[in-house]
Amino acid sequence: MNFETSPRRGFIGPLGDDIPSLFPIIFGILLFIGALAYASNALAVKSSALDVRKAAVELAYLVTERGELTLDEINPGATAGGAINPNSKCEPVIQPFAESHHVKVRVTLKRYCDYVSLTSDPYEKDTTVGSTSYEGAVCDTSVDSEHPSGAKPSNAVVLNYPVSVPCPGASDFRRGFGMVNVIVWR
Amino acid sequence: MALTRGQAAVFDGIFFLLITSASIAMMFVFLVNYGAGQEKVLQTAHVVNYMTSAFKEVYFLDASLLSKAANDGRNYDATLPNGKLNPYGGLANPNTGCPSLGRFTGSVSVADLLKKDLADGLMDDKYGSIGNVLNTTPPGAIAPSEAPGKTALRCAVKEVMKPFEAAGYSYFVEVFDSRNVPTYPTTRAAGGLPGGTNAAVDQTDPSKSVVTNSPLAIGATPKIRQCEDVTSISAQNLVVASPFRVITAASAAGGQESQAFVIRLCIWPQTPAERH
Repeated sequence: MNFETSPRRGFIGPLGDDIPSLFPIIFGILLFIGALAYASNALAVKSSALDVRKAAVELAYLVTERGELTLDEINPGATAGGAINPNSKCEPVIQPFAESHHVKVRVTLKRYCDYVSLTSDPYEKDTTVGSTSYEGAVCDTSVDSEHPSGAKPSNAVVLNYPVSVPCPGASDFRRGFGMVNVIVWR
Repeated sequence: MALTRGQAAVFDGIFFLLITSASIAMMFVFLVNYGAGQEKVLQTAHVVNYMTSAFKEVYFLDASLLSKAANDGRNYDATLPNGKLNPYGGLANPNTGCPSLGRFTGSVSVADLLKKDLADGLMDDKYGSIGNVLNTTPPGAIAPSEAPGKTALRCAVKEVMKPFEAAGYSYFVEVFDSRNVPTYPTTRAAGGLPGGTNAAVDQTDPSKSVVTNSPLAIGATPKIRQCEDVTSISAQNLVVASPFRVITAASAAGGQESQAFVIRLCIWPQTPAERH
């Protein structure tokens, strides 16, 4: 029979000996859950950004189906003066698209006529080329009491496409340089 | 044995932490690559839609409204400051450049001028110059009439492709007869210049102007003479083609003749040799 006479050093107990191993286990679990939560959030943000971009490209196909656009086709159908614009695409096409995709949309039609200027703001409909100003058109689904002229978000997707527009007058029969800007955000 | 029991448990704990870290790393690798394919498809769809819209716009543009296209402050001299030939050279010339298009009052579109120019099978700003690229009129023949379709196309495409040019892309427009498929060279001539035939529609008229913004597509020995040649300088080449039918009179007695052309617009990221 062999009995231990000296006390065993470093021995706390059957369960106490396992306490140090709990630290890396708990740390690992917390790290994994935290990483999972972060990844899930990042995935949702990326997925939403892709949805917005996809919606912008789809809307662009609808707006640029022909090579020409007039101001009437982009301006809202119901004008401030009470007259109805029957050629408008704003209410029958653009607004339902925005609602079905849960996005906000601003489509601006800019008339350059003489030559294309890259310094103009895509959110603004009017342009100045040289010393001549040209009026454009806008259809905005974000217009409300808080944004009477429409919002101007910094994270929007902005796509530009060339189209021919009436020039030099807004209802002329001749066609000059123009650009339609499709701005989509959520 | 009692002394090593705690050691084994700590080792298990650390091993668990290692496995967890590896899983997290794999998760982040997936996260970084998520959506890359979709984004590429959307980017390509946007570019293709832009080029298609450019084609459609060019057909509608009124030729007389292109007269101010050269007023944008760009350099239109024959040569660039670095000594290279300027692809936009001559476009500000009041007699042969964009300003000269102002005389086409009414509703003459770029497409109308281009059809008249191409009716004789050449894109050389003239109608009636078959086999006459030297701009000479044989005795007794009727001199060719003016049909500045190529100039109108140059002025129009220059403006329409401005956003892409500013983003660092080069473009080249070619026109060929769809019945004569251009042969692509399988061998290279000495010096790396592409051999073989050009596209069926000749752009090398006396003015040597080409519908492009790339210095590599102009000059006496251009590296780019058709869209396929772009693959020799860039791996990324996007091409959009559009049919362009020209109907002419078959003879003075009547009848119609139809020529089925194809217009191709190709774009690629600018190479260092093309930056100006």
